[in-house]
Amino acid sequence: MNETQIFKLYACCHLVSGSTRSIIYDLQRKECEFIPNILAEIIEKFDGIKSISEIKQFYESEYDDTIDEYFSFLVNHEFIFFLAGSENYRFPKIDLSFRQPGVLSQVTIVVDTLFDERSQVILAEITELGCRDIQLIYLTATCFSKIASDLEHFSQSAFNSIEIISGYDPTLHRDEVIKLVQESHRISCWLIHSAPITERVREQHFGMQEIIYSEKVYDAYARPEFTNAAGFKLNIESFTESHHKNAFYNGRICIDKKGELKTALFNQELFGNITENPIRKLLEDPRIELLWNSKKDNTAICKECEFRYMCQDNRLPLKIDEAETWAHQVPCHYNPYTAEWANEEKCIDLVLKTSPPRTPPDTELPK
Amino acid sequence: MIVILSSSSDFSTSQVIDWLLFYKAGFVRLSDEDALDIQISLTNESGPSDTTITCPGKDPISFAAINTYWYRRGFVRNTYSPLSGNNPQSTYISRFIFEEHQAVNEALNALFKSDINHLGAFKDNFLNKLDVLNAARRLGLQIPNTLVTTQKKDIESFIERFPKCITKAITNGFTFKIKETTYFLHTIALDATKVEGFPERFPSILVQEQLPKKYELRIFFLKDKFYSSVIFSQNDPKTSLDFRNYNNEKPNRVCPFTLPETIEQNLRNLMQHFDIKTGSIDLVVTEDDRFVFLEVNPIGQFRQVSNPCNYYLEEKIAKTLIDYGEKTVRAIA
Repeated sequence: MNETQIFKLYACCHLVSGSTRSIIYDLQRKECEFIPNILAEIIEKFDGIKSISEIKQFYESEYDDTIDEYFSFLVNHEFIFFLAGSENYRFPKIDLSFRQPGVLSQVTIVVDTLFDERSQVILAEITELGCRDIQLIYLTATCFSKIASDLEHFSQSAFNSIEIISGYDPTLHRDEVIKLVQESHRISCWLIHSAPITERVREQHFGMQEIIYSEKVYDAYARPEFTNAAGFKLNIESFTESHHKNAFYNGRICIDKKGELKTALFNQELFGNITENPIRKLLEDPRIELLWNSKKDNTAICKECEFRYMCQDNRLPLKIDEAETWAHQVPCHYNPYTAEWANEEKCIDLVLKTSPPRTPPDTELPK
Repeated sequence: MIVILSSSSDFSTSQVIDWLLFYKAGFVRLSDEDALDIQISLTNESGPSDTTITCPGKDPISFAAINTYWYRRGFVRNTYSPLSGNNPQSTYISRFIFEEHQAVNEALNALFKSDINHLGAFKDNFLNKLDVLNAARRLGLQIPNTLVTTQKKDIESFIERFPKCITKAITNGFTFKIKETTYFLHTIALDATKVEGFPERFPSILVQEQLPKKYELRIFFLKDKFYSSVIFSQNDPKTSLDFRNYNNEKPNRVCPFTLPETIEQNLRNLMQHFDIKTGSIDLVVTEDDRFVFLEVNPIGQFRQVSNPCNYYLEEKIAKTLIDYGEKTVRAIA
């Protein structure tokens, strides 16, 4: 280990401190590691300023072993590198601004007779609003030819990805499903629920595409709960978005089978009907922008959670004062003050590619 | 209107287009898969030439309606199918037709260039690595010691001076696919032992000293500004010679980088010298902290700089194109 040169955290690795512990978000490798808050403080205080031997001196050589252990951990995970003081200016931090070329990022559509009649108008409107990812939900078992013909609307479209959720139909042959996914590179995922089997189909030629057969009955109107960290997103887009927006709701709308605009299918609130007003007009409702801007840094409890820039919390926050302060009525399954999940499953591992989490010892150092 | 010429599979182009749509800028994307009819009419009448591009099934695009041109990559495909058959003359005639078409591509770009604000140019494809290295050297940039030769004895004496060398293509190399395997030219290490097995004479090859790297820089240049990234390729033996040997399991660290001002100015002079408005530049920072220029790739990919550094280059390119369109002033006779 290089003791004499200044240490520097790679700009793609970000420290996020919570109430009881911190996480290093490795946005490039999409991994993360827990660290004690004291190590986060050391990094923040001396990053690009001091060498390891200088840090040891700073603590009057009382904690040399712990400091060695901490820095071996950081070096082994390639979170830090060493440089001469004159080089420090060359390595700026990443600018965390967030930009998106559109108002909408993801639209969920419940496919019913209304969509059949107005698909062209709806798709044109949401395309113009910048939407490139779409989710199609079929509430009932749907025959193959219906889905295949719906997909034809997208053949010349600007959409990058289509996610399909449909009920199992015995006439929907596996080979046909595979063939359709193979032919339409826009399908990112097709969930077929209420199926007789549970299977994840990922053919080699699919690339990132997948088909999921699930025995579970999918209730489109029930809010999926986060009981562990499995649904978290760890990448630069989500990280920067979370600093400015509500990472789950921002840019997301849903059009239910009657054409009512919602923020999500499982939410009750309606924002007008798309048959009466253009979507652009409906989006002018100030409640929508307010929700999209409800970032975790302004949300009680969440702002003290180390997961706050990867969390995809789908609970509806409540504005509690005139300032932009938010709170949740429904408790989260994770408690940042005890660093425990309510169900004790310790499913944290699911978000960490490296398991088990290798946390350095939490030794108290004088601040 | 903005005219974009790009290969159909270029995802970065689609991302720039998303921003053009966001800013409500009119554009048309032409790709090397479109069979385009090009009509260039040059007469003694004053004013810009009368040029029309027609994509079958779409409205013809008149030159007069275009105010910005972005040459991203690729070329306008020849609509005429090459001659088939074993007739020995057909090879020569096909070659001739190809060259004629190439000349039309060049003319199209020259016409765009003379009257319209443009980003990138077809001619940038033909930038010569050695010409660029020589210009870089003369403009005050450090370059790797380089030799091009057809003789073994020359390489032997070069390797005596620089025991660790590399060899790479003088051109952009090649890419081909046989069955499921894609082949392309990488940078290869060369030392005295390897050279021993060489014949006395061979086709021209380029040999360069292998630089002891501290880190590599991939810089995107757009209209006077540099957006730099540093690639820590030295940490991984797989990528230490050529970072394109990507390690997908554990990708090289890529972070934003600030260039020293003198290096920026030298690079700016180099881009001006070759009249390049946009492109990717590769540099190496050596263990003894020298900034050594390697090459410029005017049609290089920029996503791997834009995304990890959060530069939003796609939006910046779109805004540049829009800005160019507003500034285009046509020569009115």
